[in-house]
Amino acid sequence: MIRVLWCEMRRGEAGKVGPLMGLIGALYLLLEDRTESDWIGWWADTGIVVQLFGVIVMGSVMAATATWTASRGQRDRTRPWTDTAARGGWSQALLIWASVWLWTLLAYAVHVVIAFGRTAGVSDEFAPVWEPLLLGAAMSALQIAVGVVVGTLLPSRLMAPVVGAVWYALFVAAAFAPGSGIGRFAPAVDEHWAGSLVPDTALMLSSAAWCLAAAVAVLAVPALVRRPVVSPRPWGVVPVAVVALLAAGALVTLPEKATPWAAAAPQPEDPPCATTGRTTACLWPANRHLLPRLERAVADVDRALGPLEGFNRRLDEQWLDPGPVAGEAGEFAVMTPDVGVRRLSQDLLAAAMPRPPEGCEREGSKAAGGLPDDFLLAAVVHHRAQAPFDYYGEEFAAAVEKVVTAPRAEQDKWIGKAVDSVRGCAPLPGLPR
Amino acid sequence: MRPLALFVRGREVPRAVLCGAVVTLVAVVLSGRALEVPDIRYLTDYSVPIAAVVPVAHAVVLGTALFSPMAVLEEGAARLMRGYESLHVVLLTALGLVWTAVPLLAGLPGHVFASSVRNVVGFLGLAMIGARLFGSGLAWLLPLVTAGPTLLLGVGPDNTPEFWAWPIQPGGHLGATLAAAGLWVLGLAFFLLLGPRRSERDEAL
Repeated sequence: MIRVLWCEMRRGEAGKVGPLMGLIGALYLLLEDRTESDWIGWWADTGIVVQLFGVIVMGSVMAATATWTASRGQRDRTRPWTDTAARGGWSQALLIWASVWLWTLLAYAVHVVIAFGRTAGVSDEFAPVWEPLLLGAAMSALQIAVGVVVGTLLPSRLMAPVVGAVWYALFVAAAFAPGSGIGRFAPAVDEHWAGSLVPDTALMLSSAAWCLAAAVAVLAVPALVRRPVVSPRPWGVVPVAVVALLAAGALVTLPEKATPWAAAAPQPEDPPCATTGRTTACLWPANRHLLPRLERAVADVDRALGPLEGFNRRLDEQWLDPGPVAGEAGEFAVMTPDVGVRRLSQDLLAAAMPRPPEGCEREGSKAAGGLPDDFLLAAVVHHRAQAPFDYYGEEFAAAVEKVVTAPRAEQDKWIGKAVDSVRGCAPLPGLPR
Repeated sequence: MRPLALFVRGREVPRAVLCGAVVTLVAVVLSGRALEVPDIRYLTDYSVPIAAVVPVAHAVVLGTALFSPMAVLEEGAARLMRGYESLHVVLLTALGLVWTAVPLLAGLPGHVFASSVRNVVGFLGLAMIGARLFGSGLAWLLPLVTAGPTLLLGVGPDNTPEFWAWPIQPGGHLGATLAAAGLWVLGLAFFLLLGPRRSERDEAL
């Protein structure tokens, strides 16, 4: 059997298409710019990117390849021989499926090594997330199995591209109809997790079990349907089908969530934090590698705010729960795993701005050029810190200029009153004369 | 006309037309929708009209009509087949253009139609190149292999398509139009100058 499998792997079209897909994925993973990447450095997102390419791009193309390979018997007129072979139809279908899936797994493994290697070069920890990868491998198995079944039952030149196009279309349909259930039974995890979310292991394992069991079970369909071939024994097919049904049942009963495939990460007991003066900022542990840059950014913000009162001095990465803290707290997002000091400083400064109380709607003010007047406070503080701020027109710029050209003590006084106004849901004080 | 009709039927063009009609129907129903870049690319905010993506399906369906079941006979024909094959490619291209024009009746904007036309021409070119390099049974390979990575990876962090992502450029983009036209011309050259692969000459379907 192994020798036949190896022969099929060498002869089959998957031996050419698999390496091609491997090369395309490898090029993308290698050429991605680390400083602008949205995944290099985050283990969870790295796994998701590899899985998504493996399922949506590689899986669809390999499924089409499997369809073409499975129709070879009809194409080359060797079907009468294969139908009367000692091996049953299920066994032959499994062989073709395995030959295509193994090439897919090989390319997948290369992508995993490259992607995780790049992330290891950024992250301070070695914490690969394996659940999305397992799910991606299982899903590609199901895709290829469906391709083999279609190619065997409908051996036509048209079906191979149709299978590929239909798999692409199914993922588009799942994106258009998120609550429809397509996503759980044809899983393609497309979420951004960074450090605050962890995989929902139970759901992912259930879905992977469904994919693998369904793949093996569905491969028996041609042998059951086509009379000339030897049909599989019921004691072989039924257990696999039962496993698939149980896994499908688990998928149906598990509750739907806002982030379907993830769960909230447990709050860390000792998050990496940086403190300078009165300002402290904390990160999720997955961003520990950013601590040196965070220290510089916190120093910048503390220097910019100086002795000003009323600003948020405890800054936590989004969804990090600081627990009871003294003073006001703000939240910032780490946009990329390799974010620079300058961007971190800007984000921390924005997070330090006081927020109006809940339910308070700030109206546009003339001084702020029609914008909510807390924009004016933020613009003044950013100007003093020499940090970039958006341009909102001549009138707005003139109002900012009026504040920042006033004597320092007057500026501080105006800022203090403005902070109280924002927190008290009152209009900003008049501009310094 | 009869030889021409037989030629077209021998290459399964009616089957491709029927299948293309189904794809066109889907394109008409979804003509107002757009396909967004996957959520994992959360820093980008870019979408491609469905009508500009559907040409991939048109091209792979038309690519199935690039197979000749009589390749061995045609090689020994008294006349050179290149003229007929050129007409065949033009016919397939015209079919693709007609299919991409149907959603106009459903209110498809002109600039989206322009990108659909560009894409069906470019992807058909890729199908012709693939048909001669890998065999007409794998004519779908290059279009599908181009479409998937382009949609998943083809938008840069500045929210604009990468230089190589010609299928997702807006309609009227000169570079993308030239790329698609170039692929079509190259595909036609491959199709006419290279014969079918030896392995596919004995294939029954």
